[in-house]
Amino acid sequence: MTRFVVGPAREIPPGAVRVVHPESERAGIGVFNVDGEFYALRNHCPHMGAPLCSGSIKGTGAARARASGAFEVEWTREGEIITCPWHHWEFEIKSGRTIFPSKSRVRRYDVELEEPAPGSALEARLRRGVETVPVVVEDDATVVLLLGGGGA
Amino acid sequence: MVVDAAVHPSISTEEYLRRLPGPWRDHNMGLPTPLGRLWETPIDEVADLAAAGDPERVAEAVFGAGDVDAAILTPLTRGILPNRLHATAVAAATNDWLAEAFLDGSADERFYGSIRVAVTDVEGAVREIERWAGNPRFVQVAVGLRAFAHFGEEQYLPIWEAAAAHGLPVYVQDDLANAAEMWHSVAGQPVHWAEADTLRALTAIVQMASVMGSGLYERLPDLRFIFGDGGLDLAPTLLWRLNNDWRAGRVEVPWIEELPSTLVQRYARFVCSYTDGRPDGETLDPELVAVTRPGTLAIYGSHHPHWDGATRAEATEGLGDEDAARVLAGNALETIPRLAAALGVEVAA
Amino acid sequence: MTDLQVAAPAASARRVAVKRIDCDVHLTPMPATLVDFMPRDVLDTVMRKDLRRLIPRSCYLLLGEGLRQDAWGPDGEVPGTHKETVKRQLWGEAKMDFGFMTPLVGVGADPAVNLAIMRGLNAWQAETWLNEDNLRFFGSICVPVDNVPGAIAEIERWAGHEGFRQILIQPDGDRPFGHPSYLPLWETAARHRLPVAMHFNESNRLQMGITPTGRFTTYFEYHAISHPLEYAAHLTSWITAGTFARLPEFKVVFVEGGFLWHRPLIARMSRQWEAKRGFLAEATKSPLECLRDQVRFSSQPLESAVRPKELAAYLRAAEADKLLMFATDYPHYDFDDPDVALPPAVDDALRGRIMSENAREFYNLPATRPGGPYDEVDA
Repeated sequence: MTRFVVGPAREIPPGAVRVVHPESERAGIGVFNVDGEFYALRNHCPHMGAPLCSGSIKGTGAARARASGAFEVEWTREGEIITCPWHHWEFEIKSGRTIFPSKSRVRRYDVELEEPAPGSALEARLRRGVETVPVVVEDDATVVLLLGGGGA
Repeated sequence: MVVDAAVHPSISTEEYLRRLPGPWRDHNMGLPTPLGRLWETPIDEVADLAAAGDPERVAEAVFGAGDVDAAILTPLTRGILPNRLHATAVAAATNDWLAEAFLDGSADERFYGSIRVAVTDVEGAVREIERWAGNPRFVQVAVGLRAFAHFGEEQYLPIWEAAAAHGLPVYVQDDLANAAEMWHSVAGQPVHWAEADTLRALTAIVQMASVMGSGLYERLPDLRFIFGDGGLDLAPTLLWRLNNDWRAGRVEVPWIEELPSTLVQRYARFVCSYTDGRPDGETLDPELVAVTRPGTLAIYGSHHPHWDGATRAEATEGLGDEDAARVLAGNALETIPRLAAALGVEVAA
Repeated sequence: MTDLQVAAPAASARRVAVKRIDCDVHLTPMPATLVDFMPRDVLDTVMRKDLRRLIPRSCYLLLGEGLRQDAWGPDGEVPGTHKETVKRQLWGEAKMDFGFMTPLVGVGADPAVNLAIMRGLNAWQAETWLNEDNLRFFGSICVPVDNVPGAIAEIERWAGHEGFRQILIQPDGDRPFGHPSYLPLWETAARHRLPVAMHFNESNRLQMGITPTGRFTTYFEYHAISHPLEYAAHLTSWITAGTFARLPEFKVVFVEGGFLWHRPLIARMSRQWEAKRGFLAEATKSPLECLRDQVRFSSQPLESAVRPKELAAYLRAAEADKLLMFATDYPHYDFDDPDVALPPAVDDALRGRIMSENAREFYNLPATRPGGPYDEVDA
């Protein structure tokens, strides 16, 4: 199990995504914050290989019956869906499955939040690597990808 | 067993005028050829219209060769009539004539009928369905292919509800072109008969798709449409496009929860045409029949007396015995419960 | 169309085999750029510089405004407008060798405005994309169909330019295009041996989503079915009116409308032609011959079958080995990626025909091209 440090959790606020490029995944991996929980998906749409994680994070439509029985569209699950920047296939960020029933899915990776111990190697790497924002380590969790062996 | 799902007896103007109430009786319904008066059409060559309205001669033509167990009659009416009350009066007169001439017991007992209704008069259409629903020789409802809105739209719902409630599928037939309908192509009115004759299959697909796009199939799961005038071989190609557009655009039609190409099997059937599976119009491609004449969707109909019906041999060429049996009778019986009951055939639910 | 070859390169220059030709690339100018190329008199009078007319908008739910979201330029340039991005994505990533431009701006109700817009598009193509050595993009002479004399003049203006290889029209007409009122336009195209490419527009047009029995309500239905409806109207019309028969050099490409739907319609017409020739007096050439000699289709969006072997079988039966020419539709959202759009069930010979050979023969393009700076970009 390889661990890949993504960065401070507060740099990926809810609704945001960051694409990282560990060596083992040429397409890259998108790390999403959905309502405070972190998820990671391969940056590659199973349809035609588009860079999935540069699509839109949004909700989706659900069918709802009116009083007459006619259908209308209810907007729901805001923030839980990533739509492919090409053909708009919708994927559930948490599972990588398409919203339309299918066997297609995008590979998931496991994500952990880690509190770096003061003086740890991780803390040192963060201080060196994340130059743009001063890293406040005491209360700042770090997002870490678990590569190889994890995900589906 | 063989069911001929598409026979088109012809009603003369005199018969209409005998049955129409006033003020419609005074309208001189000039008899256009059954394929309309916008273009010169080939129907004149084959149709002895008097014969096409005579129950004995129709019986001879349809049953004469032997071993047809049932024929479903759907007369053409005169196309869209702008005044919807007029349209319903004509539909009612059509049904009166059909019942009297073909279905009352004096004619061949293997004839069955369609209840013609005008979709532009929703209340009148429902009333007409209710009027005939008690007669077991009427086994389906029939509507014209062309309207001014797609079948999935809300205003038509009571018609489909009435049909479904009585276990009557809806047969869809391209009626006459009398210039009261919309342009026959989306680029204006075609110049030649052959264009309109070719393009009508696409209009059937438009209606097929609207049932899906509106969710109508979900609201009325017992409703069935039988498209009588083309589309069987065209449907797969456009369903493959609809599949792509569903995967991309599901967000707009979230009631669709499976591939359109699978979903269509729930509610649509198509009458065979002789070009199904023949990419050059003549030679059967055996690899294509599974796609263009699937055993699940095809229903045989002769289209007597029109020139363009498939023969039984054409309709079943390249099919295995099981699929051939479905095309010749099984699919019709499964889709038309009253017919199955009349023939004493039990159909799996 | 003259028998053009790419100018012979210097002896040391590397040449690359042409394997991928893209028959539908939507490079379109920004409105503020386009006005610089439009005739002044129309801008100052009829249009009054209202640029909204030039901005594509659809009243249907157009996903992602119709664009690939990863095709924006480095400074936020609209997809298809930043040259470097276009070349990197099309030549480098997609590995296309040649591309045909199909610029689209919607037509409206006023023929004067329509013509002015198209004149602008043609001038823009010539100056922006067709002024390079060793052309890899080819242009389309955009003309309106609601002003046949104006369209003919515009064809005459550009027909001698080596960068323009076809004419581009939209399917919006008052009558199907076999109607005699359009004949002079096809005669002009035939005389110059320029194929006529037809491409719908999803923004400004005279009637959105109309069908012979109503109007589409959902984009789902509209996008799948309206373009076959449009193209079928003209295909059947040109055949039955005898336009193909009468003008052997008149050739048509149906772009971005799908492919397989044509086959059941042609099958039907073949039977009509055999059985009811008396009602087809002007169709002196059989539908199949018209199709094979004078009609082509671009592939995107390629139909996707549940069972790919069925798609391959249907493609073969529909003579894709002659009739089908690959396209990506770059930079639109429903881009067909050349690596994966054709399923593996399509054999190599057919694949080669679709990916480049059919277009090479149809447009008389060379079999090799000079090597370029994007050849080594990683896909």
